[in-house]
Amino acid sequence: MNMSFFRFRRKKDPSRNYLNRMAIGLGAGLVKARDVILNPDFGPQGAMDVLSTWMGQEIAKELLNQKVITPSSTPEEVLEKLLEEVRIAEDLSVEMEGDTAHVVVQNCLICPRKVGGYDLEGNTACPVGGLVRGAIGLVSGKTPQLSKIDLKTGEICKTDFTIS
Amino acid sequence: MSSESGKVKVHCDICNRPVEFQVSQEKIREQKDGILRVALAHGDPIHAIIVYIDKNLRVRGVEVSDSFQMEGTRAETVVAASEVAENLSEAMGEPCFQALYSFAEVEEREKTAFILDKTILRTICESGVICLGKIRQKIAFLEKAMGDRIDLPQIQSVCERYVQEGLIKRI
Repeated sequence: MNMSFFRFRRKKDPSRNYLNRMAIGLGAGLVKARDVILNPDFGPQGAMDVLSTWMGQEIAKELLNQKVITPSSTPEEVLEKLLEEVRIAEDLSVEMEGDTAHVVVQNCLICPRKVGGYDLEGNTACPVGGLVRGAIGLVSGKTPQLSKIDLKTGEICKTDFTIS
Repeated sequence: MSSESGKVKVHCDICNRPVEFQVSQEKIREQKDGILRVALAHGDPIHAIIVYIDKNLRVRGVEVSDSFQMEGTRAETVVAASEVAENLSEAMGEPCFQALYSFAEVEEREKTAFILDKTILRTICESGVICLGKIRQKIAFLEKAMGDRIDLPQIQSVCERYVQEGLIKRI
């Protein structure tokens, strides 16, 4: 009788921790937000908003652990580092105008339609708003307002955050 | 504003004139919450105000309409008067917001809005008129869902933006 045994021992790799953190946020969010997720009134984008908020909080914890940001980092710094570390797009710009951050995402790397090839049936499921809201809220205690969201799946998505 | 039996006089903020009209006591008695709402069309060009009158013929409030249409081209949300009273029950000096459209009319426009903003807008559209504190109560479930505190300034900020965009009105 053939038997095999595998044992994987790996040192912690900080660069891979973001995926773990996202899974933790996803699991916690699924439990805490199950009523919202199962309510058809909120749709796929609503479900993604709540889940990505949890993921954003968890990623922010990892950014703090790795000292990429500190508890005294400004919302702008948290936004910059979050988007830099998570690498959600090939082309991403953040333009600050007073208290408002204009985030423009092009060639998105996490678009279920463009990258994943899935038919979203006319829906959107963008995590950017929740990720940013969750991360900035956790670190600075100032929850940004998502004042304008213009999502064109697979094309150019624009989101305005007012941080005050 | 002043009142007398059977007749009610209010000031219209649109034409800046007093407007007098008759009120049936019987109609007021028919209201479950004791408040009769009268849509009062008058003036030239014609415009409308909504007057809230209690059983003592006292004017409890006057709202001006932003536009006047003889034949409705937009769907109106029908909200029970008792629900309106409930939504305003905690409005001690708090801002109140009034829906100008049904949620179905603005849903497509706000399709990708963040869940908090969309839920606040839905709450106002479905309530007709609602105060800030009541909005917070009705969306409190999102705090648990997002693991995040949602305070009154956040809600007010979202409301003010929708006021600026003309989707709701501050009263």
